[in-house]
Amino acid sequence: MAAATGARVVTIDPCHTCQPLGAAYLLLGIRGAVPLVHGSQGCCSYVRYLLNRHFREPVKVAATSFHEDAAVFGGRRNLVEGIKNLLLCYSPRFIGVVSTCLSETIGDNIDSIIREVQKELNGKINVSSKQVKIVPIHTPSYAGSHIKGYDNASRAVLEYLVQPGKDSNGKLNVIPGIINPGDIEEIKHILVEMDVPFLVLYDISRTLDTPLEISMSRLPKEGTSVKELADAANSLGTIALCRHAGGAGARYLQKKFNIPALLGPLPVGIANTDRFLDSVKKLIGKEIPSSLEWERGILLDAMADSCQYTMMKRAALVGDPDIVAGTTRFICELGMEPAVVMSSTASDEFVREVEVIAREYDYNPVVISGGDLYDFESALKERRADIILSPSHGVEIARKVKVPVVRLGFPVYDRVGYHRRAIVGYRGSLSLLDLIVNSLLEFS
Amino acid sequence: MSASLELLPNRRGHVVLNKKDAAEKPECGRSTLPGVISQRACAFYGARWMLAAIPDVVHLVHGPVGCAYYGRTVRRTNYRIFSSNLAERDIVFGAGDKLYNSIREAVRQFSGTRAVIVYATCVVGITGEDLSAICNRASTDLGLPVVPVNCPGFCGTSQAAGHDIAVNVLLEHFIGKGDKKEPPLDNTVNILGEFDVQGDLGEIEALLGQLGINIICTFSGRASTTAMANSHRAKLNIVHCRRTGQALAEAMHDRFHIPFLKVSFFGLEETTAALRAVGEFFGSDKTEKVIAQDVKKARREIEPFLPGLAGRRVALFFGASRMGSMAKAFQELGMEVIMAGSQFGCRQDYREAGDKVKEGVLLMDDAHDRELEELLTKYRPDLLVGGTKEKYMAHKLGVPFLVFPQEMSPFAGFNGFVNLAREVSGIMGAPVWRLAQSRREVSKLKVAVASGNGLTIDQHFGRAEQFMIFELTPNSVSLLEIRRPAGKESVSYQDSGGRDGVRQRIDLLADCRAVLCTRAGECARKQAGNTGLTVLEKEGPLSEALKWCSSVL
Repeated sequence: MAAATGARVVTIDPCHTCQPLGAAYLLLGIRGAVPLVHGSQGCCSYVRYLLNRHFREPVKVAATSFHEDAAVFGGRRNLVEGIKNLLLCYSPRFIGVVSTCLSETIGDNIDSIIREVQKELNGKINVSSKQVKIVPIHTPSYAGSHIKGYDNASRAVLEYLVQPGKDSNGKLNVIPGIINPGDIEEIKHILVEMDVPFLVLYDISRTLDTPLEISMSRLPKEGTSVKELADAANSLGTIALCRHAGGAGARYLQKKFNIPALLGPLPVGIANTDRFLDSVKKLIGKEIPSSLEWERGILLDAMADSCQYTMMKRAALVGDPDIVAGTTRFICELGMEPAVVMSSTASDEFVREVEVIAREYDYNPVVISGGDLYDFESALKERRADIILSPSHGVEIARKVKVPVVRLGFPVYDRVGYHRRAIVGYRGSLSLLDLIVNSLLEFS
Repeated sequence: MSASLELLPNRRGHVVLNKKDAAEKPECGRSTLPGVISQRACAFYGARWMLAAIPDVVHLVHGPVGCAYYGRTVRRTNYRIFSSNLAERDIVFGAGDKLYNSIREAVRQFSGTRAVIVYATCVVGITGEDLSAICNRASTDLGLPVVPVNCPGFCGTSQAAGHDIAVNVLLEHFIGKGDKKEPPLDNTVNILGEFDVQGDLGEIEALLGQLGINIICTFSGRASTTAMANSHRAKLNIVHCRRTGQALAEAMHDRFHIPFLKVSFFGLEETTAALRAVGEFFGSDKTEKVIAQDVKKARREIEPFLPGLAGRRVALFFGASRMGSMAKAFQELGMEVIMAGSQFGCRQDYREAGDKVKEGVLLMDDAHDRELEELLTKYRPDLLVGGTKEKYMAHKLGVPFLVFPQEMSPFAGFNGFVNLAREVSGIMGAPVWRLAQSRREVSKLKVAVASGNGLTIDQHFGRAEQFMIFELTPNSVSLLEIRRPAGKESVSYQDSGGRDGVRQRIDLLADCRAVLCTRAGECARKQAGNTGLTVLEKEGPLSEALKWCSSVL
């Protein structure tokens, strides 16, 4: 059942990238923040380009621009000068210094360099260390994927910023993970319906989906503020929607401040969303309102209406582990058979999660953890599928094997508007269901 | 001379106002300042830009998986890529064996491969692995060329370093590896520095085809190992992009005695000049006929777009060498170039651009995000042309944007020029820009009145000597300023492009919603309407007219 990637050493067409992207993704959800990539220009340029293409939004990520001298003698000067220039250009409230394989390998101690800069800044360029928070985030590109980068950053930022007070703020922390603005908006909608006070940590919903306003605003005005992040230590509980991306932050708050943490599953489909609502209820003590029961009923109705189209269809899924695992359960709920289920980031938990679902529904999918597109294509050719659910990089394979594709997860750069769609909650699942069914119908 | 942009101290020399004959051009080829959001990428990116499209070789990236993930996509196309996917233990204990095994496996997976290209990334450049030795060993064992490309991201100051490294790899291992004794082939060329973006190469090929000239190899939009091996047999090398083609042309000249021509296929004039130069080289007698018929056709096809483009202001921000030729192409469309900049242009690129644009035009090297933002807000061009990374910032500020290298259709050759005109016209003319403005102005109306005496409307639009600009709100009328169209003697509005009085007056009132005048010509009304300016004919006292105006608009 679970197929390892086998004895192959070489990776062919990778479908995950490295840590700095995940850290940047998270930092862009902090109000007035600019990620500063400590490494070569390419690390920054590629991250921006990928985010530009997915969100169709401007993305402000700076680099310390390593060249030969820095690579040999260390990047201290680049980092010090970089922070100063960044302050002059954008006056950010928050700078997340994101390390790279290069700066980690040459052994730059970004923590101590940042401490020095902060001391020096007091009094100079009209910036005191109180006004701007500069946080080191270790994201060596050779250790784990972009998912790991988000996860590391989710903890690093909290460690640096949280300030426990005496009283609880009565709120629920939500760490979204690498999901879309549309998903976050849907989660907020659910919490508003439940009358739950909440704090979305690293909220990209209004920093990476912004209006055309013509007025100049150097940095997005929205996002989670430093003050709100500091307050995260006083909440009633934390839900990390994605166990793999953000779980570290939630676990940190649990360990350090005794705030209960629930990690995943991503609320896609009936059971996962039910579970999310129950978790919220348990943590905050609010009842599930009839408005959400109504949404649930609508989703069930749509599932009933379309089961003749979805029944016994075979699906192949690829993408980030939490999105794929969450969607796999929904696929099963639709009477579809998961034929190939692959996470681009390796994870034993992912494999266990999918196996539990498969057992429950009595299916026998090929489960691949940390595979590349070559693995996916090979498995697909062996097991065949009627539909593929994948980010944009699976589209070419879908064309090759001539099956319809539903774009899902990150990144989607060959179609517009997917970052605004939700797949979470009853309403998000409904919109995903519509996509799946209509793609099947279009193709038949 | 300085531009009215706020600049970091170290950036001042990089931004200059163009002066003909002056040696003063932007400083270039320097390292990017740390901490700014530069549009530049790294040497690895540059090497991929040059080599990715070579179809029949294994491309293997030796480094962490991210470099391969990103390097897979070049010019928006995905190419099969292999990666040694270095993990922490490989960095600590060395990854020589992993690389060797990766090469072997990749070759096994990719049957029919003619060579292996191994790209070194930052971390490999630091750990000091003996890449050449491993490649040599693999080459001996596999019986294939296994070529290291030493392009760690930190070398050089931009992707340009990667271009140069890749050129050397091509020269060393691929170009002219065919039969050295074979004679040159009649009527053949190579094209250097052409990447076949959205079918550009097809346009160029068709034009050369009409002159009876065939392309052996295009570096590197269409460069199979066979084509490269035979490329030494071409009679002429055509350099399309100086940055990626010039060094290669010079080296091929030294090694194979192939002469080269630097040309451009963007714009009617440049394409015409290119065809003449190439035609003359080969002694073709068809050149003038081809040019005459194609230029005539292109002129006919762009005609409907020209009125909407005339006098509109465009800012260009490119990779390097296209500034000059594209500036000329936009000027041929009747547009005014107000800025030409590039990520990593060289002195020659800026000199060429400076020769082709007017004095006073901004020349900017390695402009970063903050500077471009200021340019957009202070100069408010009607169009910014550049890469995807700049696109969405322009949109937020309500500035129309064209991606170049282009995303929709070829821009090269005569047909490409028509595509350019159509796309620019469509993008700038999209109603969204006007709608975005109108919402903000919904409660405030800016109206121009053609009045010489300041009491009544007394002037014809096309002959008006001055316009009084009023701001109308639901409960107030205030005079903002008086604007006068420049006379013929005035230097500031002198325009060799032949902007007439009507056009000039429309531009003068670009921010107004309407203009009140005694009369206006049919043509003036139409042109004004195209830019969102309503012409209202009315006579009588100003106060009454303005009241009437706010009720009808």
